[in-house]
Amino acid sequence: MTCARTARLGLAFAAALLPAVAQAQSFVLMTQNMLRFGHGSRLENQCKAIAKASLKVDIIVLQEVMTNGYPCIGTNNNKDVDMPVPANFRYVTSPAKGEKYVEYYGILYRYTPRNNIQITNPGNKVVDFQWKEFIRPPYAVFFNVKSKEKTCKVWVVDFHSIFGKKIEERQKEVKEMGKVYTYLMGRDGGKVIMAGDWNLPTVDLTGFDWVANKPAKIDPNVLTSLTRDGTASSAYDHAINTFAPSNSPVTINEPSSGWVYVGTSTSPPSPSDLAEWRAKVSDHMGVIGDVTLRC
Amino acid sequence: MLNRGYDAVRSAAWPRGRFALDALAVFAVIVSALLDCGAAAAQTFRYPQNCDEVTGDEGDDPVVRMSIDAGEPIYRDYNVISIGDDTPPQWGIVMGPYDAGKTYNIYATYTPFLTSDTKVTFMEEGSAVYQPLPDPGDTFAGREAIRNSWTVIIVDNQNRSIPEAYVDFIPEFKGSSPYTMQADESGKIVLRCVQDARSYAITVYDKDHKYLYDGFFPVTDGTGSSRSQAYR
Repeated sequence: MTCARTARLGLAFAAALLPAVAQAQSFVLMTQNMLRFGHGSRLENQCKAIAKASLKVDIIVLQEVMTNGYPCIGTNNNKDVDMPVPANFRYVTSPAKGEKYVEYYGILYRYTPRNNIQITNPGNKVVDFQWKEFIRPPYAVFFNVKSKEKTCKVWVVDFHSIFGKKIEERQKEVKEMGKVYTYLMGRDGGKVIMAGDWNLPTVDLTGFDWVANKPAKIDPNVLTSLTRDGTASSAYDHAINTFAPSNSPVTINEPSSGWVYVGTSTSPPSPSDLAEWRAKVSDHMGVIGDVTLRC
Repeated sequence: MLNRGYDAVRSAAWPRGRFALDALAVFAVIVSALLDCGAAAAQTFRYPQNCDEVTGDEGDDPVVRMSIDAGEPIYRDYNVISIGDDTPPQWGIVMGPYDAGKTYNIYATYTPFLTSDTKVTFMEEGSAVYQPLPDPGDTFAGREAIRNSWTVIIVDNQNRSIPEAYVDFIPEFKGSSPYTMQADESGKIVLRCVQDARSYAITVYDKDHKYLYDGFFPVTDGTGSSRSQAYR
């Protein structure tokens, strides 16, 4: 084969790939259980941790938010902390979740373009599930993810499962999330990401059996909760996304820095990194994924 | 711990040839001191008299729940607040509006092992009133005994200890999140400042993070320790 012919073939191959590449919209998603966010002495450190994370991620899905509004804003806390929503981000809060004990869901998203992608929440569209099957029913926010060529649509769901005294309680709620997934798949383009603290590892097939029976995938199954001393203990934090084996409409890949996030660049984080995160920020590490949408 | 870290740095005298290693050691001591500082936050509530250390006090506000009369749940967006400049603070909530003649049951959780509760009845209705929270161990039925220290031994269904088990301790209210500790090589976990005459819910994983069981351990007698049990 001549050099010229090789080059022509290469160009043709690249040209064939271009439409697919052009249609892919990529952004970075993080889920973080932020340990009583707003009601603890860790608040300032938590706010700083989010501000730091906001420099590298585009959507942050928060659990255990204790205030109706972004906890770092001075009027939302009594901890003498006053830090704004991170620059270029907007904050979406859910209504109160729970009866006697209440938490909120909070989702931060970057509304200014980054890497030629812009994320918007058109019409402030959300789905506030109020299903009695959950102690904290999930909360879904609809996003348009725009590039110059395309706009992809995706639902991002925030979820914090009950823990309860028995594993059956966790499994029951996680199983019920299959219905939430099906409901959202039938709306607005059928792309869904459900992220949060599931209080079950992905290998618990009693809770997660439905994932294998739908066009869906779950990742990661890495240890994310932390003991009092900062030792990684259980794999509780994951994301479930719409998935098809070939040319999937949604993929979530492990970043080069690894799945877990504790504000440091070492991968995996060192024991002292984990101990510091546990003492000052949260009893869960964050989980970060590189998301690609195709539409 | 912070003072100890500072003393260690101040009093160190190292030979010159070991500068790099020594610098590393200084850094490690400083990091350790900072971590200790973060972990050992100031007391966030009044500790029971016989407790000099409290497992699970992480600087969080107490969690407060309320029911009315015979347990009908109510929710009002009250925040737990501290009044005055006392350290540790006096915690309370602002109740309101409230009705005459009804009984409001207030439950506070300070740590997974310390709670309190009270009942409040008003003669007249009102729009808002500050209601102090009872201290840990104080209940409507009276003051409960507090153990300064309690050792739980994590065992399997053959009553053999489970070395280095991971244990999720589950606070006594619906919707709570677990507080996780790891047992030592003998399967023991020492808890500090634990309310007596109760059983505490746990979820147990082995040292390889494999789920084993949901269960509990009792704190009921003067032996100072008890063994975990799986729910049947």
